[in-house]
Amino acid sequence: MGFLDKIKGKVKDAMQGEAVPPPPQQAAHAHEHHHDHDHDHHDHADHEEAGSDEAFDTAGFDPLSDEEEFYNAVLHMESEGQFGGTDESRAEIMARWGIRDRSHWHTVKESCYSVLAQRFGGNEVGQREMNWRMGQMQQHQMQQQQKMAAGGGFEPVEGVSLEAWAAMNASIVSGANTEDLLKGARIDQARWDRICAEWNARMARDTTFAVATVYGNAFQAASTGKFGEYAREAAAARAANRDLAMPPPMEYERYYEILQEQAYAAKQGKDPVQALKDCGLTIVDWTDLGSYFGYFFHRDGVRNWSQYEAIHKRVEAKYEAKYPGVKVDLDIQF
Amino acid sequence: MSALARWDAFLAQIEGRHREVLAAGEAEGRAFIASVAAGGDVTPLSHMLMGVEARLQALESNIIDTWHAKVDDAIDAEGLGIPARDAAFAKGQALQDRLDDEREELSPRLHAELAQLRFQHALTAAARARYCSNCGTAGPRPLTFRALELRCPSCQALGLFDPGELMRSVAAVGTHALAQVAATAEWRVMRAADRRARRLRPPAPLEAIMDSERSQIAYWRRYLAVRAGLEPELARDPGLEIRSRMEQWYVSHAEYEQEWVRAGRPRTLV
Repeated sequence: MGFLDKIKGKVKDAMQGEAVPPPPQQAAHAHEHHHDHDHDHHDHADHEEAGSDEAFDTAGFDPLSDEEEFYNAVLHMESEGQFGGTDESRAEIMARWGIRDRSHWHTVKESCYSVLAQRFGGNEVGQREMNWRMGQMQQHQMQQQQKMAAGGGFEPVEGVSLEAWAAMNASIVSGANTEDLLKGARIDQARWDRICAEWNARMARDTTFAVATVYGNAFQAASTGKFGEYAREAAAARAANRDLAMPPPMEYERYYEILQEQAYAAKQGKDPVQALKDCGLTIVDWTDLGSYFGYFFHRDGVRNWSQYEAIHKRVEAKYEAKYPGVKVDLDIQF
Repeated sequence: MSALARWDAFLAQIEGRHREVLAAGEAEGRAFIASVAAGGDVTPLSHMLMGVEARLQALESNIIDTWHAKVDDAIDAEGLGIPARDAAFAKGQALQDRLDDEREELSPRLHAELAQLRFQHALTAAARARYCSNCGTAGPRPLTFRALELRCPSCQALGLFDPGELMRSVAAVGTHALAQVAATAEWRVMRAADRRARRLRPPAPLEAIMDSERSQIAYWRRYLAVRAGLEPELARDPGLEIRSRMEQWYVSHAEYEQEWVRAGRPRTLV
């Protein structure tokens, strides 16, 4: 498993299934090409990278002022698929930035990363690229929500908006008496059942996750759990594509330990909710913590990967020792 | 023993252990189901299944992990040639696919059984008459899994009918499971078509992409038809339900298949 696969895996773990953008492909690469160039990046005519035969050439890019344009070019030139490039977008980028061919692109890419790495440091460049991509994903998600809204997907069901439905569900999950809650809202059980069925049906039809995203944000906005403020801060930071303004409510290592407690409970067929309770947490607490740390890791995981990797290894070893009988079937060998 | 013989023996051990673990998990699950058929907390079944599935999954991933760690090199070292190597790999992959399907089918099967048993118990209660809260007139109890507003045929008063916790739990436990079990054949065809298309060297031929599309539509058609029995909303516009579930595949997958685009994005009409 490569470095970036690991990052992707760990981010995925931390996000617990949340949609994750493709990681920057060049985080490690940029670091590798971080040399002590003492030059202005415009002055590159005869520059050659240390240990490389390739010429230094940023083509039409001024990487420090065109940083986002450069990340956009990398995304399109280096990846396919829904969030990647097409033959048309690649041709447009090559024409706009004066890139002659694939070979020239590779030189330009390495040169731009080199300039950025000199300015920010290799890991920091990887993190900045990740943040930029997160912003792109956020914009895409906002567009999906606008599209859904325009199509009537957020119209209230029998007078109950998605936000109100989410808030009521948040209260129920937090332990409120459903009957009392419905009475307070003047909704009878039959109407409530129809409302739930309709919102659930809309959510199931919506494979863009626009409904689920709005629901999730509203659910957490209504959270009265002890980490509710952290979840709301994460949602606000994600929407603005900015860093978190609140420091973590616990050490990342402790959060990763709780993840392991749950994973080992599941592997042993035990109740993961009980595992949470044993850690002094409710499901609402855990959901809120997951929102916070998922985003926290996105904003810092590439920058400080070596520290996180050390934490992951240390905690995983600790839990392997704590639950020695969980790995079975070791007798089957080739 | 040659590498190929050792590989065969290894696969047989994996398959045998997988079968044992799955059978033991299924038996344990059935014993639990019997204890909660007439009511009670069902979540321990999910917890138990998580443990069983984790072990089964570890056995499955051990196949390709072991191939990469040891078997590939061992076959290469014996100079058996690429066709023998490819055939051995395909054998392992086919086994992993089959075991993967068998594991995935376990949970829906058990939850569907539990839902059916609960339904039988709930029907006993449902056989009793329902009385209008306004005039006291007796009337038949509707077969429903959620609360309904019903008008009394005698006094026309609107009353609330709640099917009770047991009947509600049939839907909670069985909505997905019953539909999934009913669509098992289509689901298997869909998974096989998807694996075939994904494992082809790009660009995937149009026929493989369309096979994958058709098999997904067939699965959703069957799955949603059964699920609509418990969730009537799904029966309002079955075509819309299928199209909406397929949309993401068209947007995020088919759209990036060269042959699909070249052929003019030939979506099957639903």
